[in-house]
Amino acid sequence: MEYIVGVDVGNSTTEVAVGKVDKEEENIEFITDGIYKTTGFKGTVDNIEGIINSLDSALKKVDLKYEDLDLIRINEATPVIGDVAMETITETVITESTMIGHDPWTPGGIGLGVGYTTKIENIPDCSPGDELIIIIPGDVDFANAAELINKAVESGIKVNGAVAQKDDAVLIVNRLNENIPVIDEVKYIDKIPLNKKAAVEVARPGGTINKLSDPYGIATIFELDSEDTKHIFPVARSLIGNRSAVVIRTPEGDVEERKIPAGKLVIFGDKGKSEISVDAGAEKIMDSVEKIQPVKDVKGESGTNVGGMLDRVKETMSQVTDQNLSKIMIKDILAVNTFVPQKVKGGLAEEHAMENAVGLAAMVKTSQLPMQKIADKLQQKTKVKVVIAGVEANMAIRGALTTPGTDKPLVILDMGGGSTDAAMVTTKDKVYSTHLAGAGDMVSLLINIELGIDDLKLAELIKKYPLAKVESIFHIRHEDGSVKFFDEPLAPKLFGRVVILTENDMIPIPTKHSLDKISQARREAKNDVFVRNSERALKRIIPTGNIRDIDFVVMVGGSAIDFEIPTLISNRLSEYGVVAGRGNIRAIMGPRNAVATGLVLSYLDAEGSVENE
Amino acid sequence: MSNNREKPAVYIAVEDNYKNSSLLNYLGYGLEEEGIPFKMVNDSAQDLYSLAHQAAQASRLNVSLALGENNKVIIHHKKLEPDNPFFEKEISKEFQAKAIASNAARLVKGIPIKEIPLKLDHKNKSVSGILSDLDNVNSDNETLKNKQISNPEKQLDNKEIEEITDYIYQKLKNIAKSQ
Repeated sequence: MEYIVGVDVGNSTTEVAVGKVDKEEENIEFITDGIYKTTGFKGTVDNIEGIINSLDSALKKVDLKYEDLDLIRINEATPVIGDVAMETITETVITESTMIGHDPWTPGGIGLGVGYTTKIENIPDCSPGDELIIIIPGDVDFANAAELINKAVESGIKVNGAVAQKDDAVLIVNRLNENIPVIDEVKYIDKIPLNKKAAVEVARPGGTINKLSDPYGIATIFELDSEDTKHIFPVARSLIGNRSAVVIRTPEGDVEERKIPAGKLVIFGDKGKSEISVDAGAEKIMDSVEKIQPVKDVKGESGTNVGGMLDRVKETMSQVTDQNLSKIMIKDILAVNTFVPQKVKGGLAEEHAMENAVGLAAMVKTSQLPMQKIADKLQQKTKVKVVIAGVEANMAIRGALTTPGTDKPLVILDMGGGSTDAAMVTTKDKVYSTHLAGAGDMVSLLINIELGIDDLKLAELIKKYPLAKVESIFHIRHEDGSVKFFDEPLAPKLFGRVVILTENDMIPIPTKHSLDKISQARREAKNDVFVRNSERALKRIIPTGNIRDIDFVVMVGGSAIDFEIPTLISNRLSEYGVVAGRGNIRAIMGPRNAVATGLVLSYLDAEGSVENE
Repeated sequence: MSNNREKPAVYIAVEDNYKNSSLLNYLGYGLEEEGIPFKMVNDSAQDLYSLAHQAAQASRLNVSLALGENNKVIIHHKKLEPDNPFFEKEISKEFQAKAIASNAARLVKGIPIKEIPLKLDHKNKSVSGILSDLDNVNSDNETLKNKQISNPEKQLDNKEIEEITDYIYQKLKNIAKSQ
């Protein structure tokens, strides 16, 4: 009777399986398992801490000690590292006008007003017949403001609209004798240019503005020619969907236009290279990648975001493996189109415009990771014999085949944090494997930038858990419309918000986005990364290139635990007649522990019944 | 304000010696800005919580505001226990009363509530801006200095605001000492 341990160091988690092996009977009984987050980069000596923690947690469950163990089998980790980055390819710069396009909760009045911007204290200097837009700074009380405006109107001055700094619009309008549109909560009110022609528009409650969000509407108000209309188009575009807005014409233009250089990607293959500009968009980039398969290396233009990101990935890998930078090659990239809310240059109330961007994931592979160092160190620490056993893909297949209802030929999709790996085993035990850029981290990045939340940890939670809307102090509504009531009142900070439902907590998302918008962004990110990658992976590893030629796809790895990724992939692959589902290793482990299990199982085969490609 | 008792409104109840308080006016302004009708009620009760609770029971919008001793403002909801209101705070400034009242309106509307500002700042310097200003003058409290405020624009909850206030207070004390 021997106790054999399988240790799998992954990009994000380190997993352990312990089996009791009876050599004569050729029988293996799994007695315990452990999991811990991977410490340091996969394949470095820093991993030891994670391995020890994972092993300890496993042994603690069954009351075993290091002395009881006979052998630790550690996987030959695939030297793959992924990283993600984002490149904005459009930018809204307002040069010919200034605008306030933010959406205060409560603007006042209804309609469109056009006039010249004038500070409220300068009203006495105006003469009857002047057309004004009044600027009301925060130190002016709303009652005084209303009185001053009323007096001005009585004396024949035409006050056509107003802009206030405090949240006072409704209070002001309620005290006026005539209805004018008023916009409030304008932070940088002192930046508004004075004595310039301006237009204020407020739509009725529930409506959206239609004059200032239309380029020809603005052209009509400001009497613009065709050339100027082109310049104000970004203003109109960024005001679409608002309930209120201000546009001020400043022909001299305080903001200078600046084009951001979108980097170029050069993809090198066996037969040649392909050069593509990032602003061509994700589809064109991915077409180039597929055309040039197999990719030997990818380079980015230096001085651009793409260039910087690709260099960073290579540098990390070169440090980890102690290899020369020139030997590190990028083997795959995944590009995804996305939108980024970016602060508008020239805006006055921190307006954001949705800019086009491309998210990029890159994957590097080197010849080998220094696994022997880890093995030696681990042996020294535990006083148990440690061997490096088997290629990761083969071990993962061994483990995945313990899922009830599976058989060869079988494909596993290992969906982790940094990369999506796929391996296929044929009926004749031949194994093919491939590694693709883009996995869980890419999804978090896309959620983070698309929702503009600027908090990767929160984006990670949005990815992992379902959402709900807190509708009253006693109930929430789930994504599917069902309602849950609570005995105790919910915290005020949750009220009215979209929340993330973790196992035992509700985390409010501090944005104005609706639940639908957030869940849509989440699902799209998962589709763009995982569904796309599963198709790409299958086309690459299936010898015939035809997805219909396989029967079983088993999803394993951290992202296979996700509450919707497996269903999204399963739905897509069912179109090809493939049975795809979440792995259930040893019928109890779910999609986890495949490689660790495979490492223990392969102990009896003397270096595996599956051979390498 | 109409005399029709059936009109849906947020009910405002005040203790006797606050009947002429300017804070009361600002409670009204807060509701008016949000477009929610309100009505003063003349009830009496043992304490402010019961007063607020009674008013919430009577309101057809299920929400009430109460103002009383120590400038305490309470937002109450019909379905909450008397001594466990939706929100309570002792305030010192008129604009705080307005902000709390607009939160009462938001409770009616079902939209997220606003943070109650500690001071009215038109320039709206972000929290991290204030912190970095202080750091430039004097920096020695390492643990607190390393406190990351990841998103200065986000709404802080009460605990965070307390922490930051404490931190700024500490900083100011240190500065005073060093001078």
